Amino acid sequence: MVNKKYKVCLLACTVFLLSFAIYIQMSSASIDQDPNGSQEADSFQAIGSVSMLSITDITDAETALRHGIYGYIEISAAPGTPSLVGVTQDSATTDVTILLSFVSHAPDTKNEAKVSVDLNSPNGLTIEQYTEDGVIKLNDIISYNVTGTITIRAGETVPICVTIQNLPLKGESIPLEGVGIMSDFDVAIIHNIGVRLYG
Amino acid sequence: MVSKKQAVILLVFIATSLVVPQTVLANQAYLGGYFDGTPVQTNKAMVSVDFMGTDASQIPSNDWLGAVISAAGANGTTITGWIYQNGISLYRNNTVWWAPQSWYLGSKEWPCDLISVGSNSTVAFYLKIEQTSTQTRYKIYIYPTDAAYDSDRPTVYTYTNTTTTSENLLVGKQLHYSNNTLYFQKHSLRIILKVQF
Repeated sequence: MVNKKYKVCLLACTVFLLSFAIYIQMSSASIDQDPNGSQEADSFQAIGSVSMLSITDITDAETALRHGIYGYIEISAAPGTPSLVGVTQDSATTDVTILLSFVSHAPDTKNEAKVSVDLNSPNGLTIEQYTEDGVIKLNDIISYNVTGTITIRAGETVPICVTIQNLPLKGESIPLEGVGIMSDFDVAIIHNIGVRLYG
Repeated sequence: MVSKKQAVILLVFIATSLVVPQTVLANQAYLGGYFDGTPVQTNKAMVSVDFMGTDASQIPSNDWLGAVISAAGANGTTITGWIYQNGISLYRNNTVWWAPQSWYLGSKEWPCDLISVGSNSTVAFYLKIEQTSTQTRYKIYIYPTDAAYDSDRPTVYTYTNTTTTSENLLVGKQLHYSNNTLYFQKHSLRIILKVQF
């Protein structure tokens, strides 16, 4: 008799707890699924969110297209390029070849991407390295063999030669990435050269 | 046969495993936090992040561990609809990627560049957003080694966007038509959020 009471009590408590958990789950899910920003729901803290698009989001066609991104350009080093490139401190220059590859998520509507190459653009990426002797700006010590606007078709890879001038570094290094290279607003750029220049 | 003690243990187990994670999530979906109180204007927002000691192999293959600051754009105290985000994320292959991004009224706007900036052995990252009347500057200060940190010689990546129309950022929170708007947020631990949903 006593055991029966325990069993009934246990069953009732389990049902109650499960119901409560499901209620909480549904309440939190309704907040998470709101796409437009902050919304108050019941007594919970208002929570709205703006996504942060990651590599996996940009390279996934469905996710990228949902955010109006029709493809991406990956900037990488040419095969065989060492991860550390020594640069002389005399008048000689050093060349590194980088590759721009365009992957379209919608080849029927976006079969080419326009890329702007301008190391002095007020927009886009710049890189600075703080050193013992001051600040070195990557944009100031390199040049590209192309400038202006270039067009890359879907699936195409375009090489660009980067010439590095005299690098005033003493045993220090600065990363080489695609500074001054910008794409259409609806195309992302993945900067993945992975080379450091050292003096 | 279920004893009294077993019944109590079972109930405690059910209660903690089913109820506690959901309650925590419901009350604070953003695990990083945000500033409370009346919104104030500012032209700079900054946080520090490091992944040292984080075991990247524990990150699921299609996910990432991230930290991002979100700040609302405004002209004075009037919001413009722009949201500026400066974030980095650690992936399972132990690479860290920087993602400066602007959003307008919930839609992704330019820029959309992702830049490889380090790994979980990078000593420190400092993320910063600077807002003026003519441009938004996203910055990341990277200290790859202890020596760079001790001598304060970072590598600084800057992404400049001159297409925005905000004069400043807002920090704080405010009610808008019964919606509680948080103007500055520090998000983290996306993986935990995704697992619990």
